[in-house]
Amino acid sequence: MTEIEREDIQLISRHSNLSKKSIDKILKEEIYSNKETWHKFLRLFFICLGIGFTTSGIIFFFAYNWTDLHKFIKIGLIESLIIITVLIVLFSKISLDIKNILLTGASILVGVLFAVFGQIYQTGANAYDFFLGWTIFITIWVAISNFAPLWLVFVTLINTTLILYSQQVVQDWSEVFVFTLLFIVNMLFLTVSILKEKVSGETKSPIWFSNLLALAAVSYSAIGIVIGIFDKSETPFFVLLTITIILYGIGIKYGLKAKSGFYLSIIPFSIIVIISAFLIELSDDAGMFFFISLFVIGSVTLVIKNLINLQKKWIN
Amino acid sequence: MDKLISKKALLDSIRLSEGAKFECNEKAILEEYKKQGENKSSLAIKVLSIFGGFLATLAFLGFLAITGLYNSELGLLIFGIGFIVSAIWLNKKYDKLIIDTFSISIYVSGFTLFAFGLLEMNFDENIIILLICIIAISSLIITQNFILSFISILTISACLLTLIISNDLHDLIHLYITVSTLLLTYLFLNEAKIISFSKKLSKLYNPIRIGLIISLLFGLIIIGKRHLTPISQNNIWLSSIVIILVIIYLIYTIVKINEIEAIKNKVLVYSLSSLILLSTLFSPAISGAIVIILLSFLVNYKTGLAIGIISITYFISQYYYDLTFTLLTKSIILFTSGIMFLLLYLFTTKKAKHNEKI
Repeated sequence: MTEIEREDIQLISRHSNLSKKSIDKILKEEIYSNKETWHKFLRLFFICLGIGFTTSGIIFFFAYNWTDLHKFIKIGLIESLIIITVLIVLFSKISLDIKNILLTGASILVGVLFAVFGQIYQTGANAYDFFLGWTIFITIWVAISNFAPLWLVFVTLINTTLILYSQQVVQDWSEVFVFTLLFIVNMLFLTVSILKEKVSGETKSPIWFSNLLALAAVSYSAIGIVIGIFDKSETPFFVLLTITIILYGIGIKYGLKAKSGFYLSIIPFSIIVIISAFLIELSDDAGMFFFISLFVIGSVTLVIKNLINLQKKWIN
Repeated sequence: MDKLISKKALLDSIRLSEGAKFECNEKAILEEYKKQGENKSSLAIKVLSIFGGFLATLAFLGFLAITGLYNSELGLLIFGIGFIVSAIWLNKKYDKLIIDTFSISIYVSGFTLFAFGLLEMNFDENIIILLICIIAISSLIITQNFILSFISILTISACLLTLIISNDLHDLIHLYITVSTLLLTYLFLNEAKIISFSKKLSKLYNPIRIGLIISLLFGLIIIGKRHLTPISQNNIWLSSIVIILVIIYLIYTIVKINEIEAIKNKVLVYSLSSLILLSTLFSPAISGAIVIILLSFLVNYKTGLAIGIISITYFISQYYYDLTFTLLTKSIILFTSGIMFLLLYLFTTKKAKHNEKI
């Protein structure tokens, strides 16, 4: 029997006398989660919540101001927790998924360690070097585990470090430049995550991860350009514009090759937003707003029409 | 076309298992498949048309604000009604994906103009909201286009919430959450009944499903984020009652699917889950997100599952952020819940191993 989808059932039931009972039976047998998937799901669900809650419990425990606790005990406690977790990961026989989740928990604990260090020596909780230290010291785990959620933590940390660095250390970076930097960094990670599976044939990184990276990168470039349009900053703006044009081009090409509707939606939409911002910069009278609303409808419709045509081609 | 052939095979296999009493209009089915092939929508396309529609609406409202056209109440009203009617008519006449962006923008602008027109005419706010609600419901009856129905559902729930908030009846939010939880559960658990009930309902099923999830989320956000509205924190458990009952019912279903039969195991599952649920008594937002996750996984609905997971993460962080306990108490609560989940994890793993042995 060919794979039956929910849509098929809906469609067939609309044009037949398929009884409620049979539909229910088909749904339960073919579509709904069965015992095995429930098992897998519940295990993941519980372990994630379990480790998530336990780690946050530990975070709050140390966030509480323990004036009586000597600093060696404080730091020692966290360090031994980290060591125990890593030892479990290294030497126990639990499944790889669970080890990865444990390692993600340990990576968060490294952050706690730095936070407590900052608390003791009064370096501040949002100093960029706190995040920098955290990022550096989990890098090896990230690379070895190659676990998408841990990668997500890592990339988020790098983004945070960069943003804080630009705010706290250097004062003369323009906003456009910061967004250019963030755009490039996230694009680099995206490229690596796409190329990695090609080169080494390793297990594919999940699609939500690369899509999230692409979304972040495209948003950064769009925000940067829109700011640039209104701020009229010269050089960095043109650099960003050039990089964006090149990378968007590559992105569209990749989207067509990988048959990814996602890339082919976010890139055109970002271009539409940029052009609309440019139009407002040209003139902000009533006629222009009216024109923009027509332009958005027209261009989005055009993009959708092309997407539908492409989908038809991909299916056949 | 390969696809049509495989669909035909699918139909044949159903015919085989159903026997002689099965009748279907094969021509209509294949015809609709063909039409669907030309109009196949993906999540990307839906999101794109919604975002595009809203962006265009914003620009259009900007245009109105600058020209000062909003000074003529009658003009606003006429244009508003005109827009809404054309959006519904367009969708009724041409059920095609490519007009979605356009119809969303005139539908949403239509509602905005309509509301502004009536407001300028000094109509009572409640009456305006009720009128919008009625229009949205009628549009559901007239056209079953995915996007328009989805927006109509959101409009209806936004109207209800506005009614509650603008009349200072904040505690009614619990009723809103209770009703949307029950509706959502009914919708998910009775899929077969609903889609076989009538053609219209079958087409409305998907937009209502996602619409109700978002509507429930609206309500959960309002009670999940403290100080967003002045609801009494002492009554917050009111929303939890039905949510917890629903979860227990779902656990009962899941236990059945997973064929947990030994009394000892059942007791363990129910008592651990009850302990966890009790700890969420004062945070219905968290248990509400659990309802979304369990229901979505039960019927294998991926978008819902993703929404549920993102929202539970948000609600949990928001809850602990808002808690007024000392950090130490928070830490103990979190740690204990963590251990409870780890126990459940061990239980499921042990159970799995046990099954493998058999």
